[in-house]
Amino acid sequence: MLQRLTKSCLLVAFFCAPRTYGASYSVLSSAGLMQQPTSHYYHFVYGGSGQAEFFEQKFLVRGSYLQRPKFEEAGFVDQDSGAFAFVGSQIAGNKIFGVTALIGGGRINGYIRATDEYYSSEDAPERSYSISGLSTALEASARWGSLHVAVNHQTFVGYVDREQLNAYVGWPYNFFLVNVGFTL
Amino acid sequence: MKRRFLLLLIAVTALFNATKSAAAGSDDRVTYSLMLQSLAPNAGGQQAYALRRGTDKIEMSLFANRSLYAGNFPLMGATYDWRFAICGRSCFWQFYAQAGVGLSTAGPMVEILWSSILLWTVRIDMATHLIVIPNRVITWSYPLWVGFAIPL
Repeated sequence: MLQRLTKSCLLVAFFCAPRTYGASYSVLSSAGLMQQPTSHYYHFVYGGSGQAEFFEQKFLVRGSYLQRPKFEEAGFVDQDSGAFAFVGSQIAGNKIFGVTALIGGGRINGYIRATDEYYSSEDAPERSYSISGLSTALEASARWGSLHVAVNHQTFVGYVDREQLNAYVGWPYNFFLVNVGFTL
Repeated sequence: MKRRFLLLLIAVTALFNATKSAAAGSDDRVTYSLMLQSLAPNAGGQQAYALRRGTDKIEMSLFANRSLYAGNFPLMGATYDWRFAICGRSCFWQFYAQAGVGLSTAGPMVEILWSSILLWTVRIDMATHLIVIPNRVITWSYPLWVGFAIPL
């Protein structure tokens, strides 16, 4: 009963928020480039995000997902993906053009799997990794009516344990994205 | 002894700035920062040094990275950043988003940087440099770049 009541209250708050706090909701699709920590190649990435903005973009909450297409070559297939949660604020500009700063965290996962029978029979037919960390983004955006277009740079720094920290090791990822979407 | 002295220095600087910040309104005061060591995806990190001079609105820097070479010399450059204060000089934990342009010995560059200054003295940056060289753009990260801030 209490659970239902809580859910109902949350739903009412969610739909009443636009009137009360000047809130709006956006869905965005993303495409761009990713650079991994140990590589100087740029990989194509795509994904999407959902965003709730309050107080005329003074405060926003965003969840996003990005992944790189599967790459298959020489008997192996590999892929990376990441999910992130941000809070942010428009720090410069007006209602049409603006700069938004976002900070949050996320997790990046990846794998490399042997597809060739010869490699599959080896001891480690699949290797994967998962790394959590801090993420920040700086975004320049423009809005025309409900259309929302943005250019975004996102950095992700993976968590390092004490041993890695003592060796001054860090795991930076960089994303250069174009986000296009609509405000609902 | 050295640690005690350092803690005392941080405490005095913090106290000094806390009283100054309480009296100050809009902030155009200057902070100098000396960045000393950055993490890197390889063991040993990167010996990257920077001298930065910033207010709540802009920041200028000179940097040198002894782990990267442009020709026969370590990578060096200068940047000019526009600074967006999320919590500025009057905060005990300052936080800035920055974007800027610059010149380096490898070519023209763009800097995107997040800086955090704790108690007006300990500075930690997350920086990304995009350096334009013939036929490509190099992205180079300073995942956590640690240094000292000297507020004036």
